[in-house]
Amino acid sequence: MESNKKYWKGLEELNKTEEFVELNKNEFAEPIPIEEILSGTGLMNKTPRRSFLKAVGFGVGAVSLAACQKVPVHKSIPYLVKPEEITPGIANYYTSTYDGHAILVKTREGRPIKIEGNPNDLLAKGGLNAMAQSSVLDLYDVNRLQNPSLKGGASSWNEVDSFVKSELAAIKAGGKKIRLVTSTVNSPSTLAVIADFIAAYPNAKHINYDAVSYTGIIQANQNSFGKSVLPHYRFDKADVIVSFGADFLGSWISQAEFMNQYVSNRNAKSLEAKKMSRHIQFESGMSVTGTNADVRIPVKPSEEGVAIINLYNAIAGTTLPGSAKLSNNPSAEKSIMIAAKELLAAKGKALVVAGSNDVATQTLVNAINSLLGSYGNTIDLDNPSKQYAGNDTEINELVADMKAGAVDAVFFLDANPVYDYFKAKEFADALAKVRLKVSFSDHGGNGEGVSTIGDETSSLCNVIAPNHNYLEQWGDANVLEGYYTIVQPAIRPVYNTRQAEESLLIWSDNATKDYYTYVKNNWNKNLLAKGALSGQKGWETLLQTGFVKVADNAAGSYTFSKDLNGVAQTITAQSSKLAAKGDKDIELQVYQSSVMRDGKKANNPWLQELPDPVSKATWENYAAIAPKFAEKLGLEENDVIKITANGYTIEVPVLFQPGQAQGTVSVAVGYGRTLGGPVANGAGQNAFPFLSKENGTFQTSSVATFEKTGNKSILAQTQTHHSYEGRSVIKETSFEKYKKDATSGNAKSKEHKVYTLWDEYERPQYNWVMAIDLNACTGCGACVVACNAENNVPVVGKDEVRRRREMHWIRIDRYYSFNDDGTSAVTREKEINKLDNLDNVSVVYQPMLCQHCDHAPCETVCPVLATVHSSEGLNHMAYNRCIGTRYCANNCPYKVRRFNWFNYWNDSRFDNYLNNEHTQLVLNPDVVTRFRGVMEKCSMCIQRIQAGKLKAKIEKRPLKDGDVKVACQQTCPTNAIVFGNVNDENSEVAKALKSDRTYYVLEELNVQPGIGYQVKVRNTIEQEA
Amino acid sequence: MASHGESIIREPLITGKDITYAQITNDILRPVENKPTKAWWIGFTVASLGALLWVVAVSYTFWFGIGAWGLNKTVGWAWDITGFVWWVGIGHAGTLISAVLLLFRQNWRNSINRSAEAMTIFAVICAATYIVAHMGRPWMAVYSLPLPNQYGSLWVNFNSPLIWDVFAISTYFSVSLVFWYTGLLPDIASIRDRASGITRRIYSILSFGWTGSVKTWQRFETVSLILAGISTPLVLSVHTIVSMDFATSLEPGWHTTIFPPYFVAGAIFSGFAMVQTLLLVARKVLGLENYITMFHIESMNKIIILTGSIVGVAYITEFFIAWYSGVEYEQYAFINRATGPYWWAYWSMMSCNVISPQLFWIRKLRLSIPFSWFLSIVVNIGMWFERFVIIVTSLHRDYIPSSWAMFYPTWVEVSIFIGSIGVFFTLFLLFIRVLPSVAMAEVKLLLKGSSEQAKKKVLAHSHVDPAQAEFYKESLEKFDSVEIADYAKL
Amino acid sequence: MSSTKFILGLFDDPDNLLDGISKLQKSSVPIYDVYTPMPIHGIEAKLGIKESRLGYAAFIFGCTGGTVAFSMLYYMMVWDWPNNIGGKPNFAIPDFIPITFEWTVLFTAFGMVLTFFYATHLFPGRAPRVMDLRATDDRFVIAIDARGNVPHDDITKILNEAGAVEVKHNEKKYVSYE
Repeated sequence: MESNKKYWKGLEELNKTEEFVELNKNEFAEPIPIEEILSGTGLMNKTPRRSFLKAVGFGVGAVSLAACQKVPVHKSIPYLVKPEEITPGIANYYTSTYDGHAILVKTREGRPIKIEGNPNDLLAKGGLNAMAQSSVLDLYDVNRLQNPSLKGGASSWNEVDSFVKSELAAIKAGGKKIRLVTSTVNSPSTLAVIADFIAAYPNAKHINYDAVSYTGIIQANQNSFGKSVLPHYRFDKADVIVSFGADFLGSWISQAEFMNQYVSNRNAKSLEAKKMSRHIQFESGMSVTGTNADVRIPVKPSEEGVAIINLYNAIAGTTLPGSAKLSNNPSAEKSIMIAAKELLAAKGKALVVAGSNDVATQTLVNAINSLLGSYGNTIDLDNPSKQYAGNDTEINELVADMKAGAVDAVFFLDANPVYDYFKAKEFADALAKVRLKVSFSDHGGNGEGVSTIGDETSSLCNVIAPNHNYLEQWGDANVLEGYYTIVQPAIRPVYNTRQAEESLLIWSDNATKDYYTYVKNNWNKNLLAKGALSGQKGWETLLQTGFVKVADNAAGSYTFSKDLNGVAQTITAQSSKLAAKGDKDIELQVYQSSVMRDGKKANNPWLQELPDPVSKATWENYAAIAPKFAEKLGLEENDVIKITANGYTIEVPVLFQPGQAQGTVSVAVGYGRTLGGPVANGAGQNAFPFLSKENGTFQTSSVATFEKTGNKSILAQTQTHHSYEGRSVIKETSFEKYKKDATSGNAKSKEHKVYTLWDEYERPQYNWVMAIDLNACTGCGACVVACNAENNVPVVGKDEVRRRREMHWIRIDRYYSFNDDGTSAVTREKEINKLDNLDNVSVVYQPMLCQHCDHAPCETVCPVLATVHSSEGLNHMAYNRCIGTRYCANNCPYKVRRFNWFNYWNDSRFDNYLNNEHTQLVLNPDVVTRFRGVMEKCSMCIQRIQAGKLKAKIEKRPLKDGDVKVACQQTCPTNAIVFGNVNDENSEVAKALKSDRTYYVLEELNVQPGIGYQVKVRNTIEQEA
Repeated sequence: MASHGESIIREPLITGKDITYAQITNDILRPVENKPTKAWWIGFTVASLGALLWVVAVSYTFWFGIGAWGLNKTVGWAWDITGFVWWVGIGHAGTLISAVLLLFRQNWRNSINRSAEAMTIFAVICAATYIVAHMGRPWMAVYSLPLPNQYGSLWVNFNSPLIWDVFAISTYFSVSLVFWYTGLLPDIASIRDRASGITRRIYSILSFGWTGSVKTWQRFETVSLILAGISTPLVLSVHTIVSMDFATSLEPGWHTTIFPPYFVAGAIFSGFAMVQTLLLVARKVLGLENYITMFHIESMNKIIILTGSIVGVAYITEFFIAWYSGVEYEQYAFINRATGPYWWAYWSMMSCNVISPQLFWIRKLRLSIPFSWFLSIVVNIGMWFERFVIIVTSLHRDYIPSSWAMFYPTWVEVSIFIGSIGVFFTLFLLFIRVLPSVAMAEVKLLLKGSSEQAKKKVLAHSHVDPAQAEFYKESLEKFDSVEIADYAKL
Repeated sequence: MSSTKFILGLFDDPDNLLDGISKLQKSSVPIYDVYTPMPIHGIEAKLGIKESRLGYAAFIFGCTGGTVAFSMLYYMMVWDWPNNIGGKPNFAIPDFIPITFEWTVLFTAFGMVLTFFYATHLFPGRAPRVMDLRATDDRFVIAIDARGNVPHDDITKILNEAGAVEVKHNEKKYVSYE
């Protein structure tokens, strides 16, 4: 209905006056002097001078002002339209998968900034190892390939696609071989993609190639039980563990998982149940596992095989052909017998593992395990691990084929044989004969500018189709039978990269070219059902939980029934080959360091600066030699020596490694990248060419010759004094003693009484403290990297570490003590120097971080109150108040304070990651970066404490124990670190600190530290060891 | 007034024949009123080059950060604080000479106190530069003052010995400055009244209009006496507080109650050594043999023996207590000093500070000018090592063996130290050009009573016990500025 | 009457100076002032000049300094913003002593010296009121106000008897600093 309201312009209109009516006839009420202006008379009447000047003045002024105004162009306007799930300042967590672990990706404002284990992860129950923790930094690696490249030059996806497709078409017609070389793929979807690709190109074949392979084990299981699988080892079910050079707490198969299993039989809980597993380690180089063993016997590579044979004999009560006494290693001989006794005693709860990749050796180990009834108990063949499926024969065949020119196309996915194949040169030459060489390499280069060549292998390829980082991609993984985890992107692709699987789909003209859809379909079709899920709903549930798990198959017990004589002969033959003859000869063992592994992540500064758990060396590899042996050879620490084996030579500095078998030298692989990126390049020497192929598998040991070069190169070690001088810093006892008296080794601190001269301050609500179980800590170093990521700790580089200036807020101290006659431990340097046998070394790890002392010595001496105590028992550090007198650091008995010697975040000399605007995206926005000249240290992740409190407040509930987990505690695969509020009687930490094993480091100083340590218990049996 | 008819057996404090008051003024003002000598120019060039090096090295440090030095996570102080304590220590002799010796009525101080005080001031300046230079963020140095601020109001930590330092050093510096300048007024006045033109104008301003009337002199003496009275505890307190930088910490090897007396003795020790180093040269170059006599040199050498021995006792006591305490960390710290990686530093300290001064028991050496000078240098080196040993060898191996580390200096911190010596000498050389390096008024006091000629008169005209006369003559033999021949006839 | 304003007796020996003073006083010639290049003890007694009271001033300044320092420390550490510093009590008297002491000394020194300068009219740039230029060098000068005094010749005589090396009859009070 149309309104009949009438609005009048004014009273004139209301009571229509004549003149209004009159005027209203015209368009404008007042006349406008158009005529005059047009006739020019309007221009006659002058503008007054003043108003003219005003006008001009204003005009000029305004114009010039406008001109002066500089309007900065802000390219990025964060969240002009804010995605609903993102609240600035609030972190989002997405489930995903790294290296088979179900993980949570912490993102802030859309940036992934931290990786945390999914608490329900089957493998490590929420723990993660150092490599996983550091993986987030790879996303922001400036040396990632930013575009596809064709024949060495940057290109576009269209060009690449058309080129590859046409080539493939031609090759398909030509009928020559197509090979997909990948490191082990266990992702169902990827496998499906590859299957489809092979379907499209029948002359294609998929080759799993692991730089460090487990073919030996897989083959052995094939030979022994007709199951070519990598078994699932269950260290949690083993009461007695005997390992021959298997570094299962370090680089062997599944670090975090095995750590978790292993410690479950040695941690506080199990000790209180008067239960502790027994672990005997035979190895030549000192591995993390060796350092944690109750008994560790150094054996040369050449003795290892014989040792295993003897163990078999002792257990089976037979004598295999070629078995001999280890005449020149009596302690090993003795220990083998003891091990045999203990293993038999623990039948069904025993486990023997060997690190060797030699089929014969592994077969013999299978035989032993079968005698011990391990199958079905400590070894599970029916729910095998799929972490490694590499097959050494296939890669060797490939090389032969390429040489022969029988291969027309090779695809490299996450494989870099030109760097890590033992005959890299040969491989490169053969590769040159291939027509189409495609690499999916996603990073690498010589470090100058934007890389277009990628890593060592891709630099020789004519097509590089850079893959997404795992945080940008869809996918899935299946590391254990029946355990399927999902990979979902946490950020849109940073560069113009494309998922390798997608490339394959496109090149094979697959029906579904979009990999997301492909994965989803694949799950809908095959996998969701296994988790009793279905449809969109199920898919969404999956994205939230991160994995599905099928009930385990019954682990059947297997009995070994093959003839062993042949095996024994091969082993003895092999062993005698490895024995060093001449006096310039030395037995060389190549190993994976638990930090750098096979070197694929060598361009990650966090990993490079993470000290090796055992040697505490960073940024390079070295020749580990036993001190006494080095003495014999006239070598000093840091001498650069030339090592030659298998016609390959490298020069590396010497590191004195107590516990290293006499007459051997160990060198780590994973270093010496040439096209790994600026961080990786030139860090150490490549040791892969030292590998050799024996009986169809890669072997890590060989006889080497060495000579001095006369040069010295100082290793960048974070710890250079290795004994704890018998100080109350470390307290240890033996399991025997512990069973009798829980306070053994710790009696003093129990009767010890604390007096204070003054009244203590109130801790009304919270009193944050920590408990660290020395028995649970295996020294892996995951906590260090987690802390770096959480607290924006700068990486300072090799030279600064050499100057002892690493910035780590938490460090893991590693102390050697020695057992000369098998009685008491010798811990004082002076006495150690007198010992003539340094082989019986026992090791203890101690995570050391700010102790947040209630009587903090640092606080008293700070002139400017930059560090004071909070009412929650925390030792605060106010960076912008600090003037950098360094008195606090001098006065800290624990030496945990770190000084910013330089401006690590914008000084071009420390171009590791902090001062690169791209990599800076990894920084945690809740923690400031520190300017040069200020002191910093562990804050007990105060930002997490605050976040926890706020969350509780918003949810209107008191803070629960476990709401706040500090970074180091969160990632620890063995839960060695417990943090919490001791005011809460029932909190985990309060319970832990009540333990009889709890002691405080340097408590006699009465600084009243907030971190309690729990005595290290060794399951040694007094008369032996 | 200078003791009339002072006992004959006292050795003269001013030597030389027919010295008059005018003579004294002329002798002392010679360097001030004439063009600089060649020697001065050479010295000054070298010194200012050193100062330049200091500027370069310090700027480098400020630009790049403390990382330019060789420090690390374990050793947070080394050459910086060593240099600081060294300079403060040297500073102590000046005040000690002018204050303590005044209270003890040691008249021989009159001819050396002026330059000693100047030395104090310049040494404390060098020390102060270290306080700022060693900070990670020197531009924030103001935070160390209790000033109101926007943190409403975050004050400083008065429990921290570093803050005590700030107050002690600043007080010490300003009080010494006042003491020194008040003493200078009459001498500046004499320069003024002898000068003309622009020089006169300048000195006229500096002289504050001094006239030398009776009342002025009376008040002047009261002021000097009281200043001396308060400076004495002050000088002791300053190094006591410096020693507390270490004593109040937890560090084994630092946490020692003996530190205050031990540091003070060490300070006087090094201070007198530095006075020797300067005066033995100045005496020759400025031709002041008559006023700075062998008696002065010997007396200072005696003080060096005394303080050196005190320091020695302190070292030994430390060791004993470390053993007696039964604390393994303490014990290790001291064993490590003597036998650890820095043994050489420890033993250089021992030989320079404890053993070498004992040579002064030998009269011949005590009276040899070249040897005294050489030894004064040795002592200064030794005292530098003392601080290095205390700071670095304690820090580099303390409680937690995993953190044990070595310290290696870089060119930067070495240059800063050498440079600071350059700064010191630049200032000192400028001083002797523009101000009287001997307190004229105070020396004039001695002329009538304690001068050689006065005593000669006594010998000649009044009856003195011949035995005493003999003794006196013998005592003169050591003087290089006395002609024994003249006494034959007496 | 002559235009002589001041009569100066210049001595080259303090003892003669003292002698001169007593002679003048015997013949009751009022002495204006005495200028010497160095302090001469006993002379103030002769001229009947009172003990200096600077000592008391010094004492008071010292007390002030101590009080100021201690109360400042108390205010900042205990009253204004007490902090938990290493678990120690806020009112840590032993820690307050060093600074209290330092400021006591500081205030004493500056207070007293400034008082001295003030009382004696000493400050930078003050025109020196010098009667004879050698009085700061090697002459000990007795100044006598000439006006309304016994015949100048007698004074001259007395001074010469006392051993004055020179007697000046100045028409200007001070040597001018053109």
